[in-house]
Amino acid sequence: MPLDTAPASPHADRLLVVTGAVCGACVALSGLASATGPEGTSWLMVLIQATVAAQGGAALLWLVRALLRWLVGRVSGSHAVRDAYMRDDTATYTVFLLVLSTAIGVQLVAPVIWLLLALFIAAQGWVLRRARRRRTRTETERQRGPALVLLFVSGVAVMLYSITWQRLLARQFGASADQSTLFIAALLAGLGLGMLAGARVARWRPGRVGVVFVVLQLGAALWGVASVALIPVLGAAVAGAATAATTAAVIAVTTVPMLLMGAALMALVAALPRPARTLDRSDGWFWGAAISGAAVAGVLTVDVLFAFSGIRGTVFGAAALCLVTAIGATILFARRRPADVAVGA
Amino acid sequence: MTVRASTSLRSLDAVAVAAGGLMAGQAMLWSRVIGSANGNRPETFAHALSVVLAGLAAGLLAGTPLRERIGMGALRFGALLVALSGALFYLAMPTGASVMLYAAAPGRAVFFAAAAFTAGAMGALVPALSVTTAERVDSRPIAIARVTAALLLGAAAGVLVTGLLLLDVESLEYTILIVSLAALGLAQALWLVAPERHRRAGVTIFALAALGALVGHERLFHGFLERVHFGPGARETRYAVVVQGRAGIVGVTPDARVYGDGLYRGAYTLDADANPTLVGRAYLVPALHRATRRILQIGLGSGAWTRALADVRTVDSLTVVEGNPGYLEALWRHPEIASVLDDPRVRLHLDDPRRWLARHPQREFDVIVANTEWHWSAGATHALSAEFLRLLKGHLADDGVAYFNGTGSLDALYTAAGVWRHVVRASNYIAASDAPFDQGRDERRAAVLAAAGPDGAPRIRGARATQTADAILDQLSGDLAPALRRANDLWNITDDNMASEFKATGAGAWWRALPGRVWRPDRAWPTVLF
Repeated sequence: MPLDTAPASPHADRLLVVTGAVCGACVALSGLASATGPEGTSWLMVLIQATVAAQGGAALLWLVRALLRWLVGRVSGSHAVRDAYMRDDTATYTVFLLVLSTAIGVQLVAPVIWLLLALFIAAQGWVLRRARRRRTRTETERQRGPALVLLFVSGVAVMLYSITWQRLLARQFGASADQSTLFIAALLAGLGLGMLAGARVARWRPGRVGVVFVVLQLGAALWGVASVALIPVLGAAVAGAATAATTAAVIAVTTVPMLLMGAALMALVAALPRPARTLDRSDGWFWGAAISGAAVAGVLTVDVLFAFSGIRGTVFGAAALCLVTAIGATILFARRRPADVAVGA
Repeated sequence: MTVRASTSLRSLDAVAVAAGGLMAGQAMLWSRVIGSANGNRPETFAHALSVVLAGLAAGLLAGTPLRERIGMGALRFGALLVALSGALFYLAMPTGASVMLYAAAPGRAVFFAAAAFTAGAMGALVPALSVTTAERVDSRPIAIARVTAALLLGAAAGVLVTGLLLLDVESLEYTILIVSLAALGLAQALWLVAPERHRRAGVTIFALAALGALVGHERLFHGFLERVHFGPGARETRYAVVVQGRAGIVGVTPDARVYGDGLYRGAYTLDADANPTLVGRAYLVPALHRATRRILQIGLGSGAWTRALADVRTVDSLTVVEGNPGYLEALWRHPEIASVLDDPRVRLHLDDPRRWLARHPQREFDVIVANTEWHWSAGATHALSAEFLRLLKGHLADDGVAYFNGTGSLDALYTAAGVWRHVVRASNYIAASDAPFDQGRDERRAAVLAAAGPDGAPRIRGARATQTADAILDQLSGDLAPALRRANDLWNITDDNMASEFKATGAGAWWRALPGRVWRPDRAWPTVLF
C-alpha cells in the first residue's frame, strides 16, 4: 500500500504545513531564548534558525502523518477504516499549536512535551474510534477494548502492590539484597502458579470465569487493605525467629496475593473471545495491556504516588483499582451473551 | 488436558522456563547497573523495571506481526530473538559505560534504551512460544497459562540463581557474560530443534559469537565498574581493590577511600589531625556521653570508626552490625584498622540492622553509632525514619546517645527532635539523647584527647593535639531541639512517607518544582529575542 493514498484535501494539507511550520519556529525561538546570554543574538541568526526549523517542523509532521496513516491501514486491514481516519486525522495535529504558549514563557520541558504527546495520542484515539465506528463491529471486537482496559488496570494494581509490599516487608524483615531477591522470586512464582490455577478453573467452569475474576479481584483488594496491618503483626511475631521462619513469612505474604491476582488475570484472559485467525496476536495484546499497566505503575508509584500518598495510600489505591476492575468485569460479563463464553474457553 | 506430543511440549516448557530465567536475570542486572549509574537513587529500580516491562509489552505486541513479516518458523524466530537479546545485553553494558565516561546522562539513556530492547526481543518470543504450545494442547487458555506460568516460574528461578548464586560467586562483569552466554546457548538449542535448514551454519555463528565474547571480555569490560559508578569522574578515580558479592560492590581507591555501589562510605584512616571531619567525628563520642561502656555501631564501612570507638578507654563492649560482608573482606587488607576485630571487646554481626535490633530486644547500649545510607539514596528511610530512631531509643540506656549520620538532611534533624529531647549536630552527624549534652569545653577536650590505641599511645598527640581536638569540637553545635520543634517546613521522616527519599530531594521533587520549571515569563522568546 502506498504511504498516502487518501483523497487529497488541500485545506487539510495546508493546515498541516502551517501547524508544522509554526511549531518548528516556536521550538527554535524558545530554544534560542533559553540559550541566549546577556550579549543577545543577531536578528539574522534568529531568522535563519526560525525559517529552517519551520520547514523542518512541517516536514516532520508530514512524515508522522504519512506513517500513522500507513500504520492504520496495515493494522486495521480495512480501506474503509483507513479512509475514514484520513478524513479527520489532520485536525489532531493542531494540538501541537499549543507550543505557541512558549511566547508567554511556557518552557518545553519534559512534562510539557509529555502533555502534548498525551493530548495528541488522545485526539488520534478519538479519530480512530470514530473511524472504526463507521463499520459494523463484532461482539468480540466490542468487548476487546474494555477487556484491555481491565487488564491494564489489573497490571497497574499488581505493580503497585509489588513495590509497596517490598517496602513493607523490608521494614519488618530487613532490607538486605537477599530478602529483596527472595521477595521478587516469590512474587513471580506466585503470579505464575496463580495463572496455572486460573486456567484450570477457567477450563473446569468455563461459564463462571467472570464470577471467578470478580471474586479473585475482591480477594486481592481485601488482602491489600489487610496487608497494611497484617505485615507488621507478622513481622513482630517472627522477629526473634530463625531466618527460615522469616523467609517463610515473606513467601507467604507475597505468594498468596499474587496467586489471587495471577489467577484473576488468567481467568479474564481465558474468558475473552478471540478471533480464531489471530490467536497469538490477541494473546500478545492481552498480555501487552497487563504488562503496560505494570510499566506505567512503576513510574507512577515512585514519581507521583510515593511523593503524595506514601506507602499506605498507595496500597489503598491498588486495592481500589482491584475493586474497580471487579466492578468493571461485572458490567462487562453481564453484557455478554452466553454464546460468547464458549469462544473464549 | 490432552497432550499430543508430550516430549515436544516438555521441551517448549523448558524453553519458556529458560527464557523466563534469562529475562529475569537480565532485568536484575540492568537494575543493578542502572541503579549504580544513577547514584542509587530511590526511583531507579522502579524506573528500570518499568522500562524493561515496557520493552516486554512492546515485544509481545510486535512479535507476531514481525514473525509474519519475516515469514520465519516460530522456533527459528525465537532463536534469533534470544540471540539478539543476549548480544544486545552484552554489548550495551560496556557501550553505556563508555558513554558515561563522557557524559553520565546519555550513558544512562543507553542503558535504559538497551534494557527496553533486550526485554522487547525476549517479549517477542512469547507469542511464538504460545502459538507453538497451542498446536500441541487442545485448550487455548491452558496453552497460554502454561507458557506464561513457565516463563514466570523460570523468571523466579532466574532471580534466585542470579541474585543469590551468580552475583555471590562471580563479579558483576562475569555474571553479565554468563547470562549472555546462556542466551546464546538457548538460541543455539532453539535453532537446532527448528525444522528449517542451515542448522550447522547458525550453530557455528552462535558459537563464534560466544567465543568472541569470551575472548574479548576482559578488554571490553576494562574499567566498567568505575565508569558506571563515577561517570566522567572515572578518568581520575580508579579502584585499587574491588570486593563483589550478592550484597553489593565494595571498591577501594588507591587513596584509601571506600565506596559501596559507587557511593562514598568512608576512608581507611585514623589520622584525625589530617582531616577532623572524617574519623575525627568518631572521637567526639566520649565528648557526647560520659563513661561510655557499651557501644553499638551500625554499618562497619571502612572500619576506621570501629577502631576509633574501640580506642575510647572506658568502652568494654563494642557490637558492630553490618549487612554487607564485602566491607569486612576489604578491611582485612588494612591490618592497622582490621586489628580491631581481634579485640575481645569487639563483636561483629553480619545482619540487617533492623532485624538484628528486633532479634535482640534485651540488648542495651550507652551509645549507638549509625553510619548507613545517604539520606536521598534508596532505602535511606530504613535508617532515618522516626520508627527506626524509636527502635534505637528502645535499645539505649536512659541517658544513652544516638549518634547517626544524617548526611546533612535537615529532615533527619527534625525527625530526631521528635524522638529525643536534645539534639546536637556535628558536621553532618546528629547526636540525640533524652539527657542534656552538658559537658563543658574542657571536659570534652580532655575526653577527645584521652582516646588511645592498643599500644596505649594517644591517638591525637603531638604539638598540635589541642588544636586538633578543638577542630573536632568546633563541629559540635548547641542544642538544636527547641528550634527544630518550632520549624514548620521540615518533614518528619516516617516509614510510610519516606520523606528523605521521595519528598525532600527525592524522586517527587521535580513534581513539586514543576510550576516554576514549566512557566518562566523571563524566558518568553518575544521578550528575550526582540
